[in-house]
Amino acid sequence: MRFPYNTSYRDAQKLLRYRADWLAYGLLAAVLIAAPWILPRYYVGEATYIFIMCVASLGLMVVTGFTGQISFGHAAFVAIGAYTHTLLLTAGVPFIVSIILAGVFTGLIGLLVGLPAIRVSGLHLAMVTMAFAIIVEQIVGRWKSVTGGFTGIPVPPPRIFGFDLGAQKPFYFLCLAVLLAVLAALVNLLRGHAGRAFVGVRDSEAAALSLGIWIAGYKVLAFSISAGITGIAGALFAHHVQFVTPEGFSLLLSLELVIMVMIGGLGSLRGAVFGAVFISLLPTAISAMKPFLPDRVAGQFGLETFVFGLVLALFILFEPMGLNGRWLKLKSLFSAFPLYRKDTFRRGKTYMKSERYR
Amino acid sequence: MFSRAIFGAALALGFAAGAQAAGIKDTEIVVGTHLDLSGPVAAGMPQLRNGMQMRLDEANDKGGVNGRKFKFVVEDNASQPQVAVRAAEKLINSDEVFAILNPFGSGTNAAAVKRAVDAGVIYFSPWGASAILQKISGNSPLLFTTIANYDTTTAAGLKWMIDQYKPQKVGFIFQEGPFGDLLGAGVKAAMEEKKMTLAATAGYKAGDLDFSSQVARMQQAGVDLVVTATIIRETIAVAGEMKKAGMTNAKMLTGTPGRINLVAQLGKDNVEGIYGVGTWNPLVPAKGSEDVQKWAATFKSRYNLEPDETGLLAYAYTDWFVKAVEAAGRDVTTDKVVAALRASSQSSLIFYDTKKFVNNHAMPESVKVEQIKGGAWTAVSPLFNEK
Repeated sequence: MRFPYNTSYRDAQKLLRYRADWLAYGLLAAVLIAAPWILPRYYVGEATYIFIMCVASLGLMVVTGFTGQISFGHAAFVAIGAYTHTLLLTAGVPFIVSIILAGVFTGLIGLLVGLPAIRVSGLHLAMVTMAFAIIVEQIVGRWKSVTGGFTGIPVPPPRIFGFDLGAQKPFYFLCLAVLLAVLAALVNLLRGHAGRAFVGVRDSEAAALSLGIWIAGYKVLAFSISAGITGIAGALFAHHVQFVTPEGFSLLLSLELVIMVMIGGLGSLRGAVFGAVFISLLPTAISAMKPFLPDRVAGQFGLETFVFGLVLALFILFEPMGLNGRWLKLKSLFSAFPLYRKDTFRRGKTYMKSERYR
Repeated sequence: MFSRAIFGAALALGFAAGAQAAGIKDTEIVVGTHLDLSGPVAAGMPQLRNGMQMRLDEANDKGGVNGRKFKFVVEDNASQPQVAVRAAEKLINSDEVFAILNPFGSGTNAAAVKRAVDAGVIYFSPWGASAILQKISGNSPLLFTTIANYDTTTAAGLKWMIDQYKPQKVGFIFQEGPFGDLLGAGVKAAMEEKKMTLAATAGYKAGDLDFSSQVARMQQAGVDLVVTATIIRETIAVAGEMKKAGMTNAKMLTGTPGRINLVAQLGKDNVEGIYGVGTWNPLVPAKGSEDVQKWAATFKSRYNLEPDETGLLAYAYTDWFVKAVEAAGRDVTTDKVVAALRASSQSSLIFYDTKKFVNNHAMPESVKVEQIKGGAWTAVSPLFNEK
């Protein structure tokens, strides 16, 4: 067990406080940097896709995990980011400018949608965002002169200062760099003033208001930031598919993102990453498992859907805190071994909760 | 000395890689596909998978092709482009397939095709919009498309209908999306050529159940030929709605996806008398000629599933590919198979005529207009071409 002992304000501000943190994250960084040369080609491509999904799931985590607003429409922001980036690149805008503009533009759209949408919450917000996603899918499909309609448009390869980053290894590092930048920005945002306000709004609007937090403002801000980050993920997504069609941004993608943050563990950035890794790898794991299953089972249609549903159901039943919750439990088990207390994570006191005044 | 040895080894390796294509081993040849196993059209995929599996198994049962047995890898694309990309990447980089056969979907194939041909993998018979895929691949010699373009075939069928039945006003009901767009382009082209304009158009969304407003619009405009870009359920619903509305004098013409047996079987009286244009023979495998019946019985005994036209089509396309691999001989390379495919021709009970690859697309795209008479599709036109 370790107890933080601060001798200056700087101590509390450090992102990595202990040597163990430096070691663990350093090791992770080394593995990630070496991965493209160690892993087989196929898994490098998979890792790249996971990075992109991590960025999108981090985007959703800001609004769902930290501000407590559920959104079933984030595929629309992925789509807006992807199309904006593709159109800007096609128009000759340099990559770095284009990806930033894609994020900013998607953030602005998020602001526009957020303004009316934050008036409702819970199930109603889920409906509003879902409707928004369907509208965007239709607009993208019908605005043929710009988006190429349902046929789609090709995505130019990513080029920075004349270097083509479309090949597998450069694209891997590009996605990794974007993920790290987004992660660093979010860590700093969420431990700062805005992040605390987000959590306050999530846990109790009444309490937050009494502390002078402008609830509507922070809700819209969270929605807009979330949309912007998801838009950046969309830009990378466009390079991943190389040819954007509306089919890629269906309700299924929105649901997948929601499942990522739920399974990962709401209210934690690490959870968003865990969720994205887990959900993205599940189909790969199923298909890798197939050769070892008896033919009767492996050839069964609907195996993918079945395993997916089973895993989700098991998680909701046995680990509502998600992968991050499980990770924290494991960590404390190891650090306290053999003195682990069974009820460590049980809440000592529960306060009365009211649906009406949150 | 040491570095020279490495250089030599690298050279030898490079040479070996150049000599033998991916997926070709001493006793094995790996092929793959990506289908929608978990998405919206997953219900139709067993036909495709089993059709392909059956032809490859038949080759393997005879000891393989030129001493090599087929290994068949099936991946899921969930009808989503991003999943299709990952499926294609796995086939190309992890399973190292020699060719991808009969992959399914338009958006999915659009995202996957370029990767495959860039990696030197033959992309054979994608079930998607052929012209668009050819364009995306940069007219790659490794892409072979077999699915007839819906726009030109529909145009041909509609022109024949206009010449034959002299309709005064033509209407168009279409599914909004790539399928409706493509078929609509054909309708537009045919109308322009016949110097007519569409009297009414009405769209619907995939999944819609009620077509009364679309049919009412047709009726209001006095349409006497309704062209529909509809799939199975919608074809039946539109035909039924037209009967209910009393449009008994109006004819209905559906495109290739609506012109299948399931429509005749499920629609019964509702679809009696509707017309359909298409490039393959809409036969019921279990009721066809003796050969088809025998094939259908084998299919049923192997997979415990009644085959339909798509199963037979998947089988026929796979057969085409297997024959080309056979023709390429023991020292099979990608170039040799491509050359064999280009020189080949294929006839099957499901095709109206013998197909050949012209610019890597199966030609001729000849069509027949058939009508449902007594619950089964019956040819009413001769076999004809767009041009």
